[in-house]
Amino acid sequence: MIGVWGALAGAIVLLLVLLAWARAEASSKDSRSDWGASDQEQGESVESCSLKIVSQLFSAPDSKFISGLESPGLENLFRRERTAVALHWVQETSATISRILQRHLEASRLSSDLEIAMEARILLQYVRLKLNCGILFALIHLLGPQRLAGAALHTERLTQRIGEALREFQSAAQLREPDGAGTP
Amino acid sequence: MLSLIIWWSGIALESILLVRGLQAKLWARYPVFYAYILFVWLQSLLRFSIFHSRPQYYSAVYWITEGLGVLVGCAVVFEIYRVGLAAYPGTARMARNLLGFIFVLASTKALVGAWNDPQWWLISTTMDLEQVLRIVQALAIVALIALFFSYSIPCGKNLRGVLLGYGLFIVESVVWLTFVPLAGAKFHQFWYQLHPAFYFVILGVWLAHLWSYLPSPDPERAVRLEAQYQRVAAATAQRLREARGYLAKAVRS
Repeated sequence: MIGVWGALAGAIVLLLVLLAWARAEASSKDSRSDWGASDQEQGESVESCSLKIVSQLFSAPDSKFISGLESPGLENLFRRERTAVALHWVQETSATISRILQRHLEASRLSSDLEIAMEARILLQYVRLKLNCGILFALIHLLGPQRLAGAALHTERLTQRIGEALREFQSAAQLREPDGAGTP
Repeated sequence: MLSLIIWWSGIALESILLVRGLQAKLWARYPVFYAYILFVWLQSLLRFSIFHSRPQYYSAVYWITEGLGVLVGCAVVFEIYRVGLAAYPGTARMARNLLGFIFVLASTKALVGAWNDPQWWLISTTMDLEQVLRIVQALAIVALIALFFSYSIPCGKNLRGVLLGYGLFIVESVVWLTFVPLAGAKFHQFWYQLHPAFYFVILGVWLAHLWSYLPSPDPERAVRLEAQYQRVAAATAQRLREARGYLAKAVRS
């Protein structure tokens, strides 16, 4: 009924997952007591950049101004610096997206009315944003940040929107379950 | 002689596991798992006695008990889900729906396949059915571990042992069921040597993890509340010390 390779692949995947899980469980056993504190520290840094900064970072006028000075060295330096900052922004945004999802998962695991459709939608949105970041990262390397203002602003807006939506979702869930949903 | 020793050693280890389960009252927390171990223990005794007293019935007894074992194994997977996600009702409900759907789908497919096959009682078809159900169990375990990973759900030592041991057992079963119809006598001989060693490893994992009861870690909310409480208590103690200091100064002056 099931092919040899399919069955073997299933067995190997299960074995690898089991070993990875056992290893992760063993290594996280000691650090578990610090989870609460580290989460709070992480919680402070979930905020992302403002749209204004992103728009300035990816805008063309600065580049035009530097080009107007007709100094190739300065232009090169400016381009290098701007590219580095833009790449750093992409990495930070990607990390922020991961932190937002992590916080959502940690908060929602205790929720009593978790919906598959909603969780799948959030996961898809997360994958889409991560993909955006990956594409942006590659394009910044290839084209430089100046031509990507639209894409960067779109990613930033989406990140902010998903962050706000999840925050509202969590506060609504907390209001609905004030005394702990996990207790029988 | 060696096969006899292996047979009796397996039965002895299963007995120790059952006795420890009773002594540590673990059977009340994992009733289906211990029912499964009891079933395997009885199955080993039955197969052993049939093999030596009425070998002509051995094949029939083997496949009937094997089929029953697969069904009880499905219940073990459900119990692992139940215990692992007990403190996470939303995640548990989501997982239950998905798991139920996967089991119904796989069982329907297997039953339809068996119904369409006029010789469905043949050993090869029984093995196919078992393989399908074992693969479904493997998928269910992978899905559960993915849930544990993604929702950062901590797992107690006992449950970790049940899951790890049973997962290894499923891996071994799937490999065995895949290669048995294809491989020749040499592979069978090789596997008959390897199988008991693997089974002892599984029993060892269960014994090491289920020797005594260890509660699963509480959900993080409790940890946070505790931490908040301790922070408030420490701040209050500090303020009281300061107030006492001021009072002492005021009294002295």
